[in-house]
Amino acid sequence: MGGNELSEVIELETESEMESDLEKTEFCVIDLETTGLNPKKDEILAIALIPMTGMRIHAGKHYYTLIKPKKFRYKSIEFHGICPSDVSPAPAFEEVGKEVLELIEGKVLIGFATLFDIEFLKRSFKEKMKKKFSPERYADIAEIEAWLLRKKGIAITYRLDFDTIMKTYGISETTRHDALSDAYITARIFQKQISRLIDYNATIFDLVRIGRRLFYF
Amino acid sequence: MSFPPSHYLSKIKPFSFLSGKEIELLLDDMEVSFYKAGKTIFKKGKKINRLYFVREGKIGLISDKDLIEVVFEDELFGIEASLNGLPTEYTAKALEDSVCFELKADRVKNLISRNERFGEFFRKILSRKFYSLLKLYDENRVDDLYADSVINLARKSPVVIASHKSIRDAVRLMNLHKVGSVVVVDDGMRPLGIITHSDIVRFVNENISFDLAVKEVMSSPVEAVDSEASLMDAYLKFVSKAINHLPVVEDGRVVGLISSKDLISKIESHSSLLPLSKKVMRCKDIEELEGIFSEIKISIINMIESGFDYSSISTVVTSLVDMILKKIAEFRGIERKEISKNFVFTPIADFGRREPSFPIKLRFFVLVKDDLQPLLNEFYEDVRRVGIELEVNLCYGGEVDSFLRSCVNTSNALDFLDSRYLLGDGALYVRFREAVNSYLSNDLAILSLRKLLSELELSEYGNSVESLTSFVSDCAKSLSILLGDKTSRPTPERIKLLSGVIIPKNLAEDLREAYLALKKIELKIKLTGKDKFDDLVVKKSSGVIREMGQWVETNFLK
Repeated sequence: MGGNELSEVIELETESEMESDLEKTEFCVIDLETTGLNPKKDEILAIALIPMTGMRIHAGKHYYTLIKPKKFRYKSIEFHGICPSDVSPAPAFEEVGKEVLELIEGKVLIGFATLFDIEFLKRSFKEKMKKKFSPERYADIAEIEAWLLRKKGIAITYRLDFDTIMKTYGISETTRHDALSDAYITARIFQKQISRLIDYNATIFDLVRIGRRLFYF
Repeated sequence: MSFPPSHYLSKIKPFSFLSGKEIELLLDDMEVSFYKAGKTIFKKGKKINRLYFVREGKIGLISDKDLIEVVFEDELFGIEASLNGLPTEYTAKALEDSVCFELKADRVKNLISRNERFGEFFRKILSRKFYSLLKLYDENRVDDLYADSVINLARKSPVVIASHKSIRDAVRLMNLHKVGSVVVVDDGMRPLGIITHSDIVRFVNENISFDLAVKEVMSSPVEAVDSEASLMDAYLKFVSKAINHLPVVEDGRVVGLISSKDLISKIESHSSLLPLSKKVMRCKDIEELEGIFSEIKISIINMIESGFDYSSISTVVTSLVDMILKKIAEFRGIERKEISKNFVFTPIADFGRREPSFPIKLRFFVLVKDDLQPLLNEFYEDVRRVGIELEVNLCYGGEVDSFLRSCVNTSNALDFLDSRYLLGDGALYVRFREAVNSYLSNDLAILSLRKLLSELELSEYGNSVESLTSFVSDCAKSLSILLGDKTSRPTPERIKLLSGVIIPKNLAEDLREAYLALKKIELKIKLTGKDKFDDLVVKKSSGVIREMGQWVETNFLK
């Protein structure tokens, strides 16, 4: 960094900065592992939740649990690495559902292919706990990314994959592909996306509109 | 379940000293925050309850619009304020888009009290014991090995002989006890001299009668070591004097004997310098010296990697280089009386105070009476050939005073303060020292302090390690002169003498620690390369040096 630029940064007055409502919003980053891709047939194997306030990740308050499914599908092991013996001592969804709901309640859900996770939760709550679950506010980091790119004049017609977005933000975590790690990386990405959204004066209403997604495949 | 932040932290000092469970404890309350470039993280004078670890980006620590430090990736800030519950001494601002891990201070405190090495790290930072901090991270902990006292390794019943006994008696004793040396003592067991295997070989070669009394032929005075001294002291004596046997004394009486073999058997891999000094003594020509010099360099790298401290390394290097110079003088014949009475060869500046830096560049002051130029030039050439850089200040006998006066305005007016006799005529050396002492005035010292401060840019973070260490040693020089002490000494010794007399005790202690740490890092940079941890020590140490600069300014220049 050149000398001039540096002194400009030091001189920058932050006091007068307008605080965006995005900085105060409570978010919850979510990631699931499932026995397959069909919410009608498949079940949840693991849930990871990481709360955030604005750009602060409350890493210490993360939540992670394995869940014992009714029917284990061996084919999915290669995607998530979770074995039947891992989940056999784990609680059933009915046992953790209440806590999960409390952690999510009132917060904006953030994820990668968030709608997919929401579908699974909806089904699980409905079938296993006879509860209605339909979160109003959620956003998908792939959609946010596509919006940010469009703002820069780049049209996106395909779905951005997770690794590409990670690369865009210079995030290189070595541990991946368990729900908790992926949720953490999603949080790190989202943190930076918020900062860019604020640059465009986006509000929480904009975020929910931008981050919404109609299909999950 | 591996949570990326714990996975990440577990690889970085000092967090790498924590167990998996302890890291979980630390992370229990951790937050990961993103700060846009220009964003203030906390303001000066605020109390903070978190320590900040930079995961990504760059953070500037700013005081009164001056950027006093830049914190890079994988480094901590806010340590002092958060752990001591004091207001921060600076404003922290993101210089780039940055991500910080924010650790709860009370969690860290808890771990400090339960994990020894983790605790040690923070205690040393808070008490500004940077040099010991540096040592804490030397994996080999060789100084522990060498810290043992001599008496624990020495042979307890030394073979001794009275001074009037014959060489033949000495040989019998050596054979009877299967030892390589006998210590010659008086009635009170005080050591007078020593006779070793190699002496016997020499006696035979020189046809010396075995009926002669040992007092006639012994090496005397004898080098001895105190029983409470550390193995390091013994080691340094072995290397710098190129000897193999040291009587161990207690209240002046011989109580044991330690040999270089005893030492080697205890600390094998680290003692590669021991045979080197003997190689120098035995060597026959310049080519051989060239080879030995490059071996010395490798040995020094080994010493650094084994965790030797800076003082030991510099003692060893200085004596080896001295030996090499004397050897070259011998090859060139300039040590012969009729020549040596006409000049004196005096190391000055850092090598003069036995604090060599790398690559070895020696500054010399040469005082000549006669025109010895061609002979001395040959000597310089040989020295350079061996691999030692030379800078010579040549002066003719009658002109010392005017020569020194002409140096007043040059950048290194005080370099002559540190000098010692190496080769040539002793009387000439005394004359040189007298001239130096009368020319080094208080005015000159103040002048030099003023110059030093103008060079040390108080707010820049760009000071090199070298400029920091030379600031400390030059400051110590000037202050010593003001105290009336014009003796050549290594910088840490000077700081010790100034402590409590001129420099406040706390500051002096911090300064000494910072100096020794920086000197070691300086060596590392030149020879092996430094790591992230060294950067932290450099930053913390430069804080102390800044403080020293401010202290000098208020106390001497206002």
